[in-house]
Amino acid sequence: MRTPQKRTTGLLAVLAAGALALTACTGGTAGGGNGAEGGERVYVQAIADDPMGLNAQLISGATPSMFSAQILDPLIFLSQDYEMTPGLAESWELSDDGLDLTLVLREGVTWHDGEPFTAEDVAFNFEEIVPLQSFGAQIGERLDSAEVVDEHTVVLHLTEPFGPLLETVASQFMVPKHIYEGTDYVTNQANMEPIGTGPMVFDSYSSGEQVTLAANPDYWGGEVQVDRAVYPIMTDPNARAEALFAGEVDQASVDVSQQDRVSDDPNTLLLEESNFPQLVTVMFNAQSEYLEDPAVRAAVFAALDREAIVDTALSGIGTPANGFFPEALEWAVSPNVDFSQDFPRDVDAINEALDEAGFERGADGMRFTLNVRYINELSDVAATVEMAQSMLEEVGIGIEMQGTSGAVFTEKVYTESEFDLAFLRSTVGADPSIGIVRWYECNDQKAAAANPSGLCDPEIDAAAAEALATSVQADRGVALTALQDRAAEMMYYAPLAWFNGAFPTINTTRWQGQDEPTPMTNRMPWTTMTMEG
Amino acid sequence: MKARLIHYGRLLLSSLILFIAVITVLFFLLELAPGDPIQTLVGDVPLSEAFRAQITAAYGLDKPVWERYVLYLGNVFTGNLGFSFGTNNEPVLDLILSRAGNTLALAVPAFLISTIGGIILGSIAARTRRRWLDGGISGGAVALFSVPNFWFGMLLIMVFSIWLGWFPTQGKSPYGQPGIGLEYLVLPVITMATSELAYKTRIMRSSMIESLGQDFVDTARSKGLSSSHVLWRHALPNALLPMVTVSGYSLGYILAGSVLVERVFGWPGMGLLFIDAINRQNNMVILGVVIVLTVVIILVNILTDVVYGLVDPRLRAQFSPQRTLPPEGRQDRQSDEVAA
Repeated sequence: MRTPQKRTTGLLAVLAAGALALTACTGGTAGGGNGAEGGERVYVQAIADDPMGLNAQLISGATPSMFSAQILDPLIFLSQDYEMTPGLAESWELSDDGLDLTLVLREGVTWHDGEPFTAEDVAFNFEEIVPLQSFGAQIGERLDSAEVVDEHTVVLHLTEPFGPLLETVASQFMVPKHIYEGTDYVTNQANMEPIGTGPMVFDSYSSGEQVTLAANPDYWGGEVQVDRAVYPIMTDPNARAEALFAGEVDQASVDVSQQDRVSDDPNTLLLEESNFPQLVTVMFNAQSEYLEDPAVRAAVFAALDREAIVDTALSGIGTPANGFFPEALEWAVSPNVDFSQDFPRDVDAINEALDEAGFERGADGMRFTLNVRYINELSDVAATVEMAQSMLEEVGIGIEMQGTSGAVFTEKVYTESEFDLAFLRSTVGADPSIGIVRWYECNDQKAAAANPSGLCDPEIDAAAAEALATSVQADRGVALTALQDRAAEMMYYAPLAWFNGAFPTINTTRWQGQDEPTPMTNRMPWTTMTMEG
Repeated sequence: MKARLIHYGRLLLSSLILFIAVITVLFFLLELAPGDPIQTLVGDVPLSEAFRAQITAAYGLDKPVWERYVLYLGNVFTGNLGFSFGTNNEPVLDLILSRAGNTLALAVPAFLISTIGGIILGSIAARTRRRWLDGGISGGAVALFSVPNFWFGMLLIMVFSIWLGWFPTQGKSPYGQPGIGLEYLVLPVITMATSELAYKTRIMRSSMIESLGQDFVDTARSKGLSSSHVLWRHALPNALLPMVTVSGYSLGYILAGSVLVERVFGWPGMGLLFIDAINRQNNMVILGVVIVLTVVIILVNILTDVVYGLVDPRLRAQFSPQRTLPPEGRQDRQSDEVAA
């Protein structure tokens, strides 16, 4: 009777010993790693998710785009103020008919693996990789050939003029031909371990833990002032905020609700200028039984108090939208649209308009209830929707809030049109024709991230096509003005606020000059920033 | 001996059926889930048709779902769990194995602390004549067992990391350094161990009370043995039997519970991998993690059964040629646990 009991105890003891050995062992490695930092200039930036690739030519989430902007170079740099400066191309010239773009490349540039960067690489990118990219696909459709004139000159021959050609070229990162040629592009290992020409070189990736980059000693754009950059993956927004305020990390994206703390803390600063402007928008389903009438849509839009949304839901960051395009795109903004004049929050007038449209208040004081969709993770948008609820209630419109994951939002809003109103944060992008116009033009294919209203307006489509078909900016401005004027009449998509509060925040205790403007969005000023002490 | 073989044969067969059922149900559920994984991968921007075509071909998504299911099932039995859906094409098994060590670093200490602690606390509570001590242990156990572990974890972070500053809030080592720091291990292990410790204490207490009331304990006492000798050498081994079963399940609970605990502490283990995969609709990784957990839980259950058969003399007697009744009730309960 005693033998089996002894066996149990023995088994337990073996288990215990084994487990202790395991913990002791893992504990030991940490002790060894602690002293590694001495003298090295390390920049630490927390990232919000485990990247599924670092090549933004293929996947465009915030994290891959940020990494590509440090490791890879485009031919043309485009700043958040829409200013173009030479990148890998020293100069460029577009022929008068808008069909031939000659690119003269920088000489003496090498890839991170030491191979020279040449015109062959550029031609390969435009023929093979650019057509896979979200916006590059439009160049791909119009590309007749990419002609290699000599080692440092490439001419892109187009079949028709393309309005946002230079802006789209500026949005394309160059990847090496010798790594990608003949491989399956979407599963190439270099998508996770990119080889580029940029200031930072890919060093390591550890799933769920971190990505590290190292300085490129041969960077063509000057000497990099950082030895290593570490990007710990911190999925929890509160944890990122605490680490940032404590100075454990130099940069992190924090929740908009933390921005009051950011402005109170003298060491932290929101990088409001680090990328193209973003906006919080409202989208209407014009096929909804309540929202078929443009007058009702206009009344709903007017009922949303844009100033109050900025002040409260967006923590005072950003500006209430007064038109469809941001002011940074001066050449494209319509002078005829003024939201404060066209859609004032005049409750009596809104009530009257809704009565006139045939939606009188019922016995409970409500006219109808709208199904409102938004993405839960976008906390700024969720806060906006909460405010919209009370604003609409005031004019007798109830809303049912349906916050979901991004995937469900995409399916319900774009594919299935199962919504009345949808709220979203999106980006203006490199050019109105690629970043903004897709929200207005006909989308009968029900593609994601494009006009979900179900409306196809011939006037808007004509204006959009015109803006795309010419490369003369003044002509494009005229076409885009027509588009905005018509959008104000139809009212099925509109910005509520220009809002850059989702951009990263920095802690300036360890590094100076992190907020220096760079010639390209999303890239850190690696060659000019300096470490304290 | 033959009866025992038949018993284990049945156990293996039912485990295999369960395993295939888990894969099948989950595979088709994931197929039905809303959303387009390719769009989710690319982000909130228009998807170029050329890219969709390439990635569809690269991952064989153009094949009908039945064909993919059969292929997948075949692959699983050869140890191939497919590839993570991304632009890096990483084998799912490699991905999971690279994270499994981190999860074990939490789960094994949590398992040991809760088991050993539960045995000691439960025995003390059962034996003590001090009412307040028994009441304190039993009451505390009920309270801690009722607390959701993710909430408890957040509470620990608030008190010990933010207010007192004793332990780091997140991660498993200082940024940019490999390995696991011991100070990073403390809070998540406590979080994981707590509810299991509470549960095991309760089981151990009642089992010990039962054991202390049995005739052989009286016999031992009447032989003049000291009361601690009676408790630890005579009553304890008997009271430990239910703990073998409970510990087997508890390892499964701890591993499955790691999903929440890892999320709270930003601990890069399998649980965090699982949550990331759900957010990205990375279906092969979701399936892979569930398969690995299922296999571990099934193996632990089989092992528990074997160990139980070895240590419980009554069961050995059942399997002797005279009596061939398999312990039906217990087997059913095990299947329920795995399914849950």
